[in-house]
Amino acid sequence: MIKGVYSFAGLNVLILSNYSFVHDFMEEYRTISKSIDFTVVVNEQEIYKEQQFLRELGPEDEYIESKCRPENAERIVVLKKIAEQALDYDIILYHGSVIAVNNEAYMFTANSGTGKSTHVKLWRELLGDKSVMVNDDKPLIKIKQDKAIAYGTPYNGKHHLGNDIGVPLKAVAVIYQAEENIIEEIDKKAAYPMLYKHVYHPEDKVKLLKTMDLLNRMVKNISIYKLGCNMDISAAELAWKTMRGNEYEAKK
Amino acid sequence: MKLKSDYIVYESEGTTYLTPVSGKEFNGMVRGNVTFGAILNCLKKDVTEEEIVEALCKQFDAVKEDVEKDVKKAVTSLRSIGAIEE
Repeated sequence: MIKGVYSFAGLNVLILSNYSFVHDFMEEYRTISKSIDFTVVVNEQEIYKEQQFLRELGPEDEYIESKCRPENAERIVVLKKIAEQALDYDIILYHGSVIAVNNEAYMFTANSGTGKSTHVKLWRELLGDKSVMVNDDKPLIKIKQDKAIAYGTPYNGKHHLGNDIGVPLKAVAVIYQAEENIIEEIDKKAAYPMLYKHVYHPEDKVKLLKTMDLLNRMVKNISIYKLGCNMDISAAELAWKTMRGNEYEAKK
Repeated sequence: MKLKSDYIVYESEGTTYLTPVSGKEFNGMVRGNVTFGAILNCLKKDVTEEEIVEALCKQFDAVKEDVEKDVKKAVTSLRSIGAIEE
């Protein structure tokens, strides 16, 4: 087996894999630390099962053969295993694009293809050097008593946007495509099922309950919005001015 | 009838959430209030609709006709997402 130790969200993870691909993929997160929080081991049966799952998900996907290569399937199995064990450390894996401004993170979530990354790109255009990408696809989120911290991971989308940083999460917006930009803050109880849709769901009952509890704790400490947006820079202007809150003006 | 074993119930501050573990038939989440939570609690064991109504009338000291409507609505909804084992 091929091994390497990597640091994500403050955890040191030993990964034992069959292919070198996942280690090349995670190189930026490699650590020489000897202390290990947990180990991820992948076997061939798990790789095969993931390949079958990927084929079922997207048989018409033009990249399906590439996605179903065993080394790529192994990369995904590693992520799922990290997500399951990270729960023991109060960390959830989320599907969203996270950008930080003034040490506060803003996450955008929606089904794939809706426009999360497109919207976050508008934020980068609007804010330039004031903004930094945390992660464009699968951030890890550490849930603390009174806050949530969004962390970069190597699983940062097709454009590889992200950094090995952790930033307190201020707000999340569930986005949808709209002709006119509109944003509204939503009640946390109503928001919970919307946010639940995009958190990683373990197949184990106990772990899933833990995930739901951690997500609930995250929801309590952030603002949540529904954002209908188009591809104009005004969408980013509206979202930024609303989600940053009134305290931003006071701090300036 | 009873709640299928692969559905889990999560409660927080008066709101009840129900979701399947594997999500083959339904992979979303249902949200309800305290009454919904009480109905799901009854469905932990094999019960009839009448037994649920009786239990809730006692628990909430409520009018039977109102409870019957709530229970019928909840059970119909749960059946529609495949959460009930008959």
